Amino acid sequence: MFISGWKNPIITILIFSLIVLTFSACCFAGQLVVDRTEIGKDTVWQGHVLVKGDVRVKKGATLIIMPGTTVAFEKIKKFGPEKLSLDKKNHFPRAELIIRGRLLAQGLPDKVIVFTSAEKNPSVADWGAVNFIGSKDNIMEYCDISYGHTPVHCHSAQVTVTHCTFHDNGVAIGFKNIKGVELKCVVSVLYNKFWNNGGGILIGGGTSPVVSHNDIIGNKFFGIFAKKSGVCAIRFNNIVRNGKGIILYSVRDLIIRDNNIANNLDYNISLLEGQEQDVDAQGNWWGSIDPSKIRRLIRDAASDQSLGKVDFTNFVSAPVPGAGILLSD
Amino acid sequence: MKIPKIFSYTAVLLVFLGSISTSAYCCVGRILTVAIDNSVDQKVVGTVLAIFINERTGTTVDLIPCKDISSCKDMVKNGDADIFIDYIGQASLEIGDASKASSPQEIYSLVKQYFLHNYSMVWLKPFGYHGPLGTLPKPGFGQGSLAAPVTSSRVLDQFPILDRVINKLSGKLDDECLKKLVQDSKAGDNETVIKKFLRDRNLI
Repeated sequence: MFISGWKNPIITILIFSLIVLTFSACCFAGQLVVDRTEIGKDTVWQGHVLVKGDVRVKKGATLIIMPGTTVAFEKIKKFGPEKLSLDKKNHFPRAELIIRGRLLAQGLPDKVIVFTSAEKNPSVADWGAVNFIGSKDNIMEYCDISYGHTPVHCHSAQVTVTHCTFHDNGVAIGFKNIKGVELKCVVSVLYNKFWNNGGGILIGGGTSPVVSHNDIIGNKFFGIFAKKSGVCAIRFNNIVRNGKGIILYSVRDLIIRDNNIANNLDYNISLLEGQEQDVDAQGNWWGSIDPSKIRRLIRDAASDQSLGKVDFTNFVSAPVPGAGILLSD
Repeated sequence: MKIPKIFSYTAVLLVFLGSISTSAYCCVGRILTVAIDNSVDQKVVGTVLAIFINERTGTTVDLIPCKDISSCKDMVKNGDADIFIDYIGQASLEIGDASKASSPQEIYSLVKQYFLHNYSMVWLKPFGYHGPLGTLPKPGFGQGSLAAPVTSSRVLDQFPILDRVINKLSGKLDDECLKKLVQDSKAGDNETVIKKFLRDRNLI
């Protein structure tokens, strides 16, 4: 049947078209090399993808990255000829995947998608970011992300980031709303692991994320840094052994509850100059049931009267069960 | 003391990012620069400023070298740096009327007014230690050589809480403290030493 099918011109054309279509969109074997470019139609990446400059997914187009794909970014010259945009306010010095359309990067537990540096000896910020700007319905799931500057970065964009691992980046995730873009930032950060980054999650101006069930462990400067954020919920996370657990600046409607916030090196929570509003952080585990020990790792009005107070009362007497990445996942 | 490290010191993430630059980009936020000359006290106190500002505001701070205090001042005046450390006695030499001052406080006020009027620069409160001697406007006015951070009106417009933050260091760094900080920095990692100093005084 199959052989006889080749004799049928319609089937032959169909097969030929399928092959052409497939190869125009992705790469089965070897390596797909992507120079500085714009993607204007739906595209699929799989296998090994070497990115050698900014790649912009234009509005109306979707980039799908298949499970098991490795996307490696070359360390290009800072704001050099391989960049598509020299707008330093919204872009990073080195190569980015700029999402104006949509990104679906959905790996599987046993076939994660890797975003990393292409360097033999990689270092932090070899590449810039998967930079979502004014785009929505994006998903990053089961991805391993390393050596980026701020590898998941959202300006007035909507993204779900789940079951990903971030390590050896500058700041793992950063987001804020920007003027002139109608879409508001909505980011769900769920079931991820953040370790050995400069900072974990940077919650910026006016954004209202959900940050839950993450392991935020051993990041050099901070676990979570919220500044001028909107209403946001930080619940059921393990925030431990970071330089500072949570840093807050000019934040109002923040819910910090049911987390394990313990053993951070400088402070579990530190209010920055300008955080005059009190902070409700009841119902967390602080690594101790001794209020004086808990207090020692909180910087607030008790240390500096110009700061607000952190209400850490009603703390739980043992680690919050079910916080962090659930084992059943 | 690990001098080169001080010069390359960038208070927070840029160190981690391996990217030292005075131009901010995407989500790095604003970057402040402190111009320091080659003297030991400027290197140590510049690092104190960098760590303190970073810890209390989250703002990245770069230290940039300059030839001497006059060059540092020019850098701030021209917008090439944001803060420098000056000495009241030295600065008062520019002002003819300073010799008529009857108290160290009056000299400080005269200098402050002069800089604001002529350069749009703002003298913040003195740290507490004395800078180079031999530049006193009047014998016996030991206070006249107190060191103080100086910034510009432009910078304070951009960083409205900066004066409030830096002024928290006022009087916290006297001659004895500085001497000890310099000694300890020679013996160990200066950033660790300075962070401990600030932490012990409940400043960070």
